[in-house]
Amino acid sequence: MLAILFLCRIIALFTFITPDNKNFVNGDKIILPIVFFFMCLLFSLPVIPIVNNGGMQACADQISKKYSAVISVFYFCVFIWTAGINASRFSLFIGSVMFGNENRLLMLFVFLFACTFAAVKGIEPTGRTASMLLFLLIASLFFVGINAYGNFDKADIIPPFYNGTSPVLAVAFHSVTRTLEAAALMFMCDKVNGKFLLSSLGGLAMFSVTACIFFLLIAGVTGAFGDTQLFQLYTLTTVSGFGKIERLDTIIIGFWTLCAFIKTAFFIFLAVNTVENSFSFKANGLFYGCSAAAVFIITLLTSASSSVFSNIISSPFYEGIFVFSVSIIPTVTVLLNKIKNHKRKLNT
Amino acid sequence: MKKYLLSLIPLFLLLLFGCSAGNTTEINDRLIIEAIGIDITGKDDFRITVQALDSISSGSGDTSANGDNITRSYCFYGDTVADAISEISAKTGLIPLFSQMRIILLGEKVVREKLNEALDYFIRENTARNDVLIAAASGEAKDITDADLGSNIIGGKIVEDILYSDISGNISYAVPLYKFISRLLSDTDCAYCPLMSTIADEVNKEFRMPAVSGLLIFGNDGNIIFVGKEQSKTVLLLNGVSDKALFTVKTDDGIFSLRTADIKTKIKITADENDMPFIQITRSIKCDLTEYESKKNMSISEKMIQKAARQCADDITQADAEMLRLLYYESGYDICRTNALFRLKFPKLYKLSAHKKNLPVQTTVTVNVTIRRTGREIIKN
Repeated sequence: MLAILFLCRIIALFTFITPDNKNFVNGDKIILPIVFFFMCLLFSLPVIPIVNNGGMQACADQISKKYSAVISVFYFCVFIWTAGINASRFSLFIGSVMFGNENRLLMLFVFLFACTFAAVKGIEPTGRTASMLLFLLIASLFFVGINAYGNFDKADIIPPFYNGTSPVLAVAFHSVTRTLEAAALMFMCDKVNGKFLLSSLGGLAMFSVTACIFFLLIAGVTGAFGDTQLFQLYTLTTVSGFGKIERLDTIIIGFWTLCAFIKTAFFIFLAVNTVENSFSFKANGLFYGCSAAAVFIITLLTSASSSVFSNIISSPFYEGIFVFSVSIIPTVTVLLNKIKNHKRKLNT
Repeated sequence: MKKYLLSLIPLFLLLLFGCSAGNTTEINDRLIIEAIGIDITGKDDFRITVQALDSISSGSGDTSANGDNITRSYCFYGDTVADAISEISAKTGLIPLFSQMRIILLGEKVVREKLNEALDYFIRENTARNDVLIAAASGEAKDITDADLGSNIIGGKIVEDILYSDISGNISYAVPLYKFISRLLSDTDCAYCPLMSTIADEVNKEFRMPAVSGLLIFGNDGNIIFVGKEQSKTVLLLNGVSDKALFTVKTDDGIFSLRTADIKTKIKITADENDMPFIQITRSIKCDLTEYESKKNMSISEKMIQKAARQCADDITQADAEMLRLLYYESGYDICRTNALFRLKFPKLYKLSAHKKNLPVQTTVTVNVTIRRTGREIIKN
């Protein structure tokens, strides 16, 4: 679980796009993951009682079957949307950095086919792949970081909070609202053994520390130039070299693809599993295929260009999805549960 | 199981033939660019001079006039750099590949009038490397990208080598594009890039070799000034662009040629009781005395070495002080990034003083030189 959550989050570091906020300086990026960590904890507080009570499905079932069905359809849409946006980021990356002139539709099709296949196989193979990938990813990030450090110049860093705390808080909120893994926790807790909340917290903390280090390197190596680039970690790797090994960007491209694969497969699985449990049926390959087709359509609609994508992910609609799925619905569910239990106690 | 195996068949077919499906570009459809020169012609149009690998002649076995050359030069025109580059495909039928590009040369007029427009394309082009070297040309960039440096030679590689190690001072002038742009965009720093020109070859007067003349420094006020080689050396060493240099030190005992082995520069910024910034530049330089081809040098005593080290330290301190006086205090060009460092350490104080054109800083420079006798050449002989 720790590996899956870390890999799902690290995509955000790979695909970090500089916010359109002139007051947000490159030093703020270094502080951003720390603020993000605490803000994420704050918003995810309603998730804790849900996890402790056996997950969203169990809690919703206790209220009523209808409520459970509505909730599962809502989360199905949320998870499919998240998988689509993730595939869209990947598609945009293929189109703008990797293979600018090639046919990305074919690549996207192959990518989603592989993701759906992994989702059909279940959470266990995806989790094992993620844990193997985690070690390789940490090793490669360490390698890239060491090589990038050679070009580090602290004079390129503009001090954190240079224009006050509000730009950092605004961007942190923007980033937190894109963290729908917190919603995933409520549906995963009954499928994972061990200390679930602790490992989830560990994944988030690990991500924050890694992001802090890499944002420091991005600020100190690429300086103001980094802010002009769409994918800043990729830019960092293009200027890092080790002897004759000059193209470290290929390492990042490889791991980026694999992380995007894990995240998309995880969310497709989660979406299908949510409706499976609620409507008590066993999803077949066709159902997974239809879900993947929905992801494909979302990807096509949202990745037409970087400006279209930027407009979509900057819209308040995204923030609404997050607040509803991570804060409001869990809070309402907990409250309804308590009321129902209280009524039951009064009746008995 | 059978179902899975059957589903793998289209996947394998896709892996086998997928690469050639769609708009795949083969290597012989590419124009592999080694160097690019950007100039403005009289009509305010951009002219790009592209030095590219001659895949057409080598591929067809053409042994005509240019057949023995690895590279070939092309000229393209356009209202913008992007327009001129789009002409490459239209006129040659090849798709430009920038990933092998070694250098971008900017003509003098481009540097002074349309620098941002010229560089914009390369910031956004996904196949161009961000660490490609950048240099300005005295006059037209075409003179350097087009220079005939002999057969079977990649001109771009020669220019790149010159920038990495200028023969006369053994100093590196290599300024990568991303560092240059980062400094251009910063409101505290001054960007700089090497200025190149062509000089007649000493042996074969027909050949004109590219050479570095000095540095162009871009002020925040929009002015551009030229500094000669001696001051360039100090700027490049102080900024860590070059970690190698050759110092010639004259003492009563003779002339010593000292080659740098390691340079460490520390810039410490403090504020005094009046909140005025105070900068201390401390440089520790380790030099090698190679003692070659001289029996006389073998009799150099430790005292002589210490004297030479002191003299070398004095010379470098003098050069640093002179450079700071001319560029920082008199012209207001912050080439040592002291403003950026001051902002990093005292952001509130910097904000208060940022409205002033120059920070009223006091700077001290301390240079320590240690000399190591390698005797490498004697052992070789």
